[in-house]
Amino acid sequence: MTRIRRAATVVFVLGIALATLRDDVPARPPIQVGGYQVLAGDFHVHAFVGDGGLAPWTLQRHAARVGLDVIAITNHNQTLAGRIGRWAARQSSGPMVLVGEEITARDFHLIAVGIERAVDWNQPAGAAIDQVHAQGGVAIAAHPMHGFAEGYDERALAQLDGLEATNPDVVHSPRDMEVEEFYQRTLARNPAVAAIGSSDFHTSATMGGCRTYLLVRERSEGGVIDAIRDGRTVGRCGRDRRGRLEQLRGTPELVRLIEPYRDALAPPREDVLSKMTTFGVWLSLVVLALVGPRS
Amino acid sequence: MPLPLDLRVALAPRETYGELMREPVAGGWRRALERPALVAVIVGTAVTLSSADRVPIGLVAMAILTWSFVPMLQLLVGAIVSGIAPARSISMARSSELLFMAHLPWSLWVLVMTGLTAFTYVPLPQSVQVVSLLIPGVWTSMIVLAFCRAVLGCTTRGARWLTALHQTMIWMLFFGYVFLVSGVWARTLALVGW
Repeated sequence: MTRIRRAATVVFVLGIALATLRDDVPARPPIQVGGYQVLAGDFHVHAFVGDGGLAPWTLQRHAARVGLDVIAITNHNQTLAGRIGRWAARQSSGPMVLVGEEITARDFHLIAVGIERAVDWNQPAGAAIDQVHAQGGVAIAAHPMHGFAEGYDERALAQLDGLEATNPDVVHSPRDMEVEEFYQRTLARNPAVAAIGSSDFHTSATMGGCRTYLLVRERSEGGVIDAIRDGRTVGRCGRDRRGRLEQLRGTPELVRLIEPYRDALAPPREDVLSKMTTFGVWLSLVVLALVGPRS
Repeated sequence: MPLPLDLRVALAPRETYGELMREPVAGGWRRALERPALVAVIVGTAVTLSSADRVPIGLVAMAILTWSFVPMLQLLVGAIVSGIAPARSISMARSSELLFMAHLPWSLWVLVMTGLTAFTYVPLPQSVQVVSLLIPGVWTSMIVLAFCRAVLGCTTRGARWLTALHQTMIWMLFFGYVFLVSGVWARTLALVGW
């Protein structure tokens, strides 16, 4: 039993060491389109303490790994994790980390990005959006489908800065129709509404698996907020680890602009060695759980 | 080759705890903290693997650190249960060590769920995930019941009460955390018509 335990421990340590040695950040040349710089963002990321798995101060580095330029940490009804994440990100260079919140109310979920203080969830969607705007932030309808979007009345739809036009819960599923219907309903009231792609990253989705391409005037928090406010975005989902097809969503003109850069902007693909390493680590943990630390 | 101790506890808890109680082991907090440390490593690495699809040391170490509150709370709950058992004849450290041998059902559940997410790409419906919680829940209850009988020296009735108390505290902490951090309470208020 001791030999099995030792062998599993060695595999575990070697796997972690190999994963650490290969933990590089892919180089991505800047892309300019029509006088704008194109950034990749994910504006729906959960963190610990919250229902996210990773600590907020590790998210900047992870965003770089998956080829993102900006993320927003959006825990449910709190901004603490976002503020910690932003503080940590400002200590080093790398992707921008914005403070956000997923305002989780009884009949709507709303992503607030670029705020400082938590917005009260116990109010109508329109009033919550007003409070987000008062803090200089932008308001994005989160996974706007049945169960999460009933609270958006006509006024709220007109006030929205963006909506998650594509996200992992619905892409290539029948529920995508619900999101498409919400998108069209919002576009009819607000033609400049931004099409956002978000991963709703907790502990099992891939950060940046669904992402937003932003056409920014400058690479800054203000530049990102302005791009969302002006609707200069395209949401992208798919070609994730389940190999599903890709979906681009936004106004036809913006999608046409982004289309030629699909591959250059795609999330980095995982290689076989990396997969084998994680499998080895996982298997060694199963063995260690079974044999325990002591006979 | 004999089965590993933790597996024996999981498969035949009453007999295995009986054998362990007959062994002349003094125990100590160092020994008692070995399994909580293992559980912290399992939970932290599993969270990293399912969240990030990769396991560099920085991410794994931080996840182990941040999620170590899970075995700590389990230790605390175990200490409360052991502390109020009237017929306990062993030290608190040894009692905690023996109770933590019941970690296998939950450790395997965490690892199986992580493996399914990370390697099979089979989308597991949330309802299936929730229902699957019953397997380690019931399994662990049976082990804790045997622990209360064989280790804490409880009567059958007393063991049932202590097991119920242990599981109630564990599940309240679990659902309390989920309730608090995921905004479920807002939706619950909607469900009850508030």
